[in-house]
Amino acid sequence: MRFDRHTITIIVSGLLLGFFGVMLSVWGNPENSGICVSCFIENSAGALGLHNNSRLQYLRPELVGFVLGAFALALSRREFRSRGGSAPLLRFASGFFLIVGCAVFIGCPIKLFLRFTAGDLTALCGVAGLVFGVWCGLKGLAHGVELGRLSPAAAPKGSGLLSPLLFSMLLIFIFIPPVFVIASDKGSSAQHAPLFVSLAAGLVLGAVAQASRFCITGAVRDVLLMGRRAPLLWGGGAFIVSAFVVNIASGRFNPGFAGQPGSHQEYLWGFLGMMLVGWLSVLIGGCPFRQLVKSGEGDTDATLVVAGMFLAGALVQGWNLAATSAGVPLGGKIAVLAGFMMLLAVSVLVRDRG
Amino acid sequence: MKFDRFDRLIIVFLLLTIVGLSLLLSRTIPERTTKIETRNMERELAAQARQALLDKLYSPVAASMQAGQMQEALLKLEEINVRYPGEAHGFILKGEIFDRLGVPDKAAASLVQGVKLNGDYIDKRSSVSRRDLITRLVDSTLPGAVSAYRNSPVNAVLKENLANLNYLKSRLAGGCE
Repeated sequence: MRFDRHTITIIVSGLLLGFFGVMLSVWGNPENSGICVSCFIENSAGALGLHNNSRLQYLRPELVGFVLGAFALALSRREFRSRGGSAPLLRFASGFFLIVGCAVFIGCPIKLFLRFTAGDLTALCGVAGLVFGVWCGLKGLAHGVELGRLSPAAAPKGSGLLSPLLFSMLLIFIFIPPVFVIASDKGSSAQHAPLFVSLAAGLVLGAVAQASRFCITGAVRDVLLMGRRAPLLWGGGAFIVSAFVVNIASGRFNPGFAGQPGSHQEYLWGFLGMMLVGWLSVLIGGCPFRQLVKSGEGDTDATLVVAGMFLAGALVQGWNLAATSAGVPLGGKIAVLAGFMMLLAVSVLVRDRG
Repeated sequence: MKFDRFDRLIIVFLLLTIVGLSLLLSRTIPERTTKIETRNMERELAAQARQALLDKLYSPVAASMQAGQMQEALLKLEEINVRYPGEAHGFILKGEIFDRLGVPDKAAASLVQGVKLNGDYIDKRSSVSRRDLITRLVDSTLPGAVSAYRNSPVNAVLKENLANLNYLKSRLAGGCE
């Protein structure tokens, strides 16, 4: 294994993700949720009035930082390019079910490992589900199940700016909140790190993730494909080690299955939720975090995934699909199975048999 | 990229639109501040009105509890709960009464129902917070509940009690929900 510049960038991304992932909790974000894209999207959807769970409404600056950090670095490296046009509706629906899977597990793939490195052993079912889901996705790819390739020609020039512009608008909303933007004064959304710290962490992580193409499901995928030769293996390893060390150093490592923050003990549904996320992520080319970063780079397909994620962020709360410490509601279980139905139908209907 | 006359015209209109939008936004700032303050006040009013209503509604229960007559308090609470079966405050009071009566498993079960209905009861900063009571209950009874369940893992009552205490422990630990 040669540690070239790209591999080092990936390792730095992993280290920073682990560091900020834990430290943002220390600085005020909810326990084990220093960084959780699905939680942040649910919070932000609530802040925009898209659901009425008064405990989950806060426009998370980290989310804005991820997109604008990636946008700024892509521009400076001349890598910003409007591209897209492949299976937009399927990507929108995939974004929707990504958040459904995360909500049923309670957390995105980043939070999965943050929970695990804080000693939450219930996350093991999610790790198994994510790996199995990525493996299923890879089997699908090998048999011709893919949504098509990105094309700069298919995306109108400048359309890639839409996502950075929308997130710039959200940035303005953070500093000058309009009347319709709501901020919880209780519950987990009332817990947040200082605004500038959250925003700075988001911008840094968005930028390094743009440079390194770091992605949790991408790391799992590459390891399954390339084994120890995969550079993302080092990034994933750096992320886990960094998060683990910071958790121990900050006194947040409490190993056990029971009584963990933001977790439930319905292991089968935790497994299935993360399996859905892993499988979908392979199909659409990245986990929820990577989709945000790609939408900042001008990828309009990823922007549609993000739009689907926002819709789901609202509906998992509005329709009571999201799991809580009490377990997974019936609606959440039905939604996960609906996600698998879509995936399986896509695998049959969209398959390239040529 | 070379701009022709059409492009320049469009750019001029775009700049004019941005200026117009900025002017409109700056004019709405005082109105926005007033509306946000009004909304915050309404939120505060609603919270205080709810608190006042609960105090009034459950005052007979609170009086009996203060007098140390827990059985009587429980009977009065049952009467009120028939009228308001989905009110979290009723379950929380029931949990407090069972705790004072020394029945921790029933206390935990009631507190779980209350917290599930309204998470404010476990928040640190909430005016209705019962976090201290719940923390004490979990800390004092969880080790015993774990060993009791280990000794008799097929006992459904012990299993449910352990699940209730673990739920409360999980909510005390925080997380995003």
